[in-house]
Amino acid sequence: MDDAGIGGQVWRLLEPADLTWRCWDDEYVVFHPFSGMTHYLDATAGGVFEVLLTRPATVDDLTVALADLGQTPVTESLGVAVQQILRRFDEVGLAETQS
Amino acid sequence: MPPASASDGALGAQFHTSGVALHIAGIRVNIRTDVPHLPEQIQYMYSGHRFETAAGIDNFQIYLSYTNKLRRFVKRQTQVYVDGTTHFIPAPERLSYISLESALNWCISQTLSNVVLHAAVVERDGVAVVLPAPSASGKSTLCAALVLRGWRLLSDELCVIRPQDGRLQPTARPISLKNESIALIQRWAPDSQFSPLFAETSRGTIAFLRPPAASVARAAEPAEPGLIVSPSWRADATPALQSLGKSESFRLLAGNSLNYFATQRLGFETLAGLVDRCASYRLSYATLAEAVETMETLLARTLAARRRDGRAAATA
Repeated sequence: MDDAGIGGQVWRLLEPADLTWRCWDDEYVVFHPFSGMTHYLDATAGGVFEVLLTRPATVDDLTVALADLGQTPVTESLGVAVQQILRRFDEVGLAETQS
Repeated sequence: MPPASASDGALGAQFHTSGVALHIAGIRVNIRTDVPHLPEQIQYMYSGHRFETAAGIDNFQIYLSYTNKLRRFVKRQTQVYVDGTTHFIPAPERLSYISLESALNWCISQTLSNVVLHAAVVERDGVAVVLPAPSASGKSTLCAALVLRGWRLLSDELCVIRPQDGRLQPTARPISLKNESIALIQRWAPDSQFSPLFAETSRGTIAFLRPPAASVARAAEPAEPGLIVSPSWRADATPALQSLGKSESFRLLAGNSLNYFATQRLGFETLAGLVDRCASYRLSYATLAEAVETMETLLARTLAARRRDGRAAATA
């Protein structure tokens, strides 16, 4: 997926009802039943996960939501970080783009 | 090792025929052996445990025998079978007891009805402390030192967590000590009772400390977890107790679990539940005295906090 197209695409969690997680001190530990893997999400990845738990969202939406959560300005580097997190979520089967 | 009594003799003979069942951590293991001296060692080290001679439903069957008939006379080697399959390399006959202990560990770690960690567990005043740590971190030595100061032994090696209520299932088995730790614990508690020394094993010299009778008597009584403390011994360590975040604590437990991946969602929920209900620490120490003192101070603080919480709940 090229970076030009990723910003406007809508992302959602895959089968969120089947996921099991804990949030401790802003960090999420997520058990993914389809792979049997456990994912340790830092505060930024945890923030993306937290928003996607409530609704599908675009990279731009997620970037704004994360900036709100952290009470920080929306920056290009935050947007890039969100894109990288979503790619990783896609790789491990946690999230996908809505078609 | 004291001589077996007349009844022990009858029990001992059955180890050589149909076997004797031992109940540990909710599982029944039938133990059968051709090795002449082994029943006496088992009965001595597992004195007070529940042995059964009647046929019943075994979860595992351990059979310890000679590798072949010739080996019975020359450089005797024994092989341990669990349910007819070998999972271990043969060992010299004199190390048969260690082979048995390894096989029992293997059996406990194979069950999927409990979540099993590589960790010692002790308990005092209703607070069970899980001590997860890799080998050579001093986990068993600290565990032995604590139980010889009145803490209840649940296990020096395997923390068995019951998923249905998150409580910890004791095994109250002998404590495995290696090399310098053996003399250290003998000095710590000169009256402590040991197995024979097993020299020249792959891990050096090993001896097993007999579990305290009071702990064995409560082997069917699960304990409420309250603390997770990961010990780390180093001769030049500065004593320190460092608080661990819950995410890091979970990672520590999962990394020390023997069946986390096999137990899947049950494993996740069980470990997360343990982390939820426990405060977690990393303990660095150089001497047993300072480690035991730190553990007792931590326990006192935990009990005081519980009393405060109890009073606050009562007045709310």
